[in-house]
Amino acid sequence: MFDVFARIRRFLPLLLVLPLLAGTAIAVAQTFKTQIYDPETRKWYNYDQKRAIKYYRKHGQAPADFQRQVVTFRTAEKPGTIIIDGDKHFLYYVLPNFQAIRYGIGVGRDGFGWAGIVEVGRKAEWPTWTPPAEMVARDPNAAKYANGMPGGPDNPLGARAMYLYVGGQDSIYRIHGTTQPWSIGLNISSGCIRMVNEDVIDLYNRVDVGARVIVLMQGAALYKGV
Amino acid sequence: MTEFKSGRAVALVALMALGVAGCTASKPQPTVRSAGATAPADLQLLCASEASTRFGANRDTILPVSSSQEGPNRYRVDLTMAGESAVCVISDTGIVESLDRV
Repeated sequence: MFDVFARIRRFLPLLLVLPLLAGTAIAVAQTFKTQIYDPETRKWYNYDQKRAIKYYRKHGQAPADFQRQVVTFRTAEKPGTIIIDGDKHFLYYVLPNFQAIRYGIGVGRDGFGWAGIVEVGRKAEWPTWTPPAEMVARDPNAAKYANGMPGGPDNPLGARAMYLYVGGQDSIYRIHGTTQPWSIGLNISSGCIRMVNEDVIDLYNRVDVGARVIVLMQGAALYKGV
Repeated sequence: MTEFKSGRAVALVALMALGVAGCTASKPQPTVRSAGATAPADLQLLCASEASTRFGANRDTILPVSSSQEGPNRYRVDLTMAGESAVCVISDTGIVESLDRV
């Protein structure tokens, strides 16, 4: 709970700037988990961390639906817009002619879901990772990187990062790569959107700074209003 | 007899062709799903877009905040609009069936 309240406090200035984002950011939601179909038993199973690691070890990638692919996407949003559906663990990059590129993503765990309309404020290759103050306070491993962990293969932000801004300010959330490619499809982050490095590089090469990003509410059923 | 046999063969080929067409035309089954039955993202945004048009609201102030399946072919999408709320019902073909402020 400490993390949630710390986040609320951190978002209070944004609450005055853009009620839409701030209001949804403080709505604590229970997230929906992914389920995976086993063709052998013909049953659906919860796709938790243990099962995801096992699946990745066996197949070397996340399930097929989370692989990058072009899909039909009926929208009035202009090409270049990013849509994030945390409940289904998909990120869409809108293309012309009612199509989109769909990528599998990992999203915020319980209490870390959020929603809003933001924009890509800046982009970075092999970004530096600076843990938030509350993480430095509670985690000795993070504390040693209080001044920033240089970019590289062990950096949790992975190969690329796109920094999400609202009203010209950094929202603290990012779309970034990962050192844990098995985590696609899970509710695992502190609110950031994670992608496998190959996908985040692909997206990074397509997205312009200033691109509109629509983040749909995760665990929407518990939303209580702005 | 020969005519009957060739007729049967044509029917068989036609049935096989239909069968193949049926297989190739069928949608691939999903390998994953969400534990919650929410509306597809594009349908949620179609509701938001329609609300912007119908209520004359700035599209940057409209966001889907909740959705659920209402029967086999339709979804309910709850929208927030700069402090107000609206409920949209949309079919899986993208037709907005109703949209009301609440």
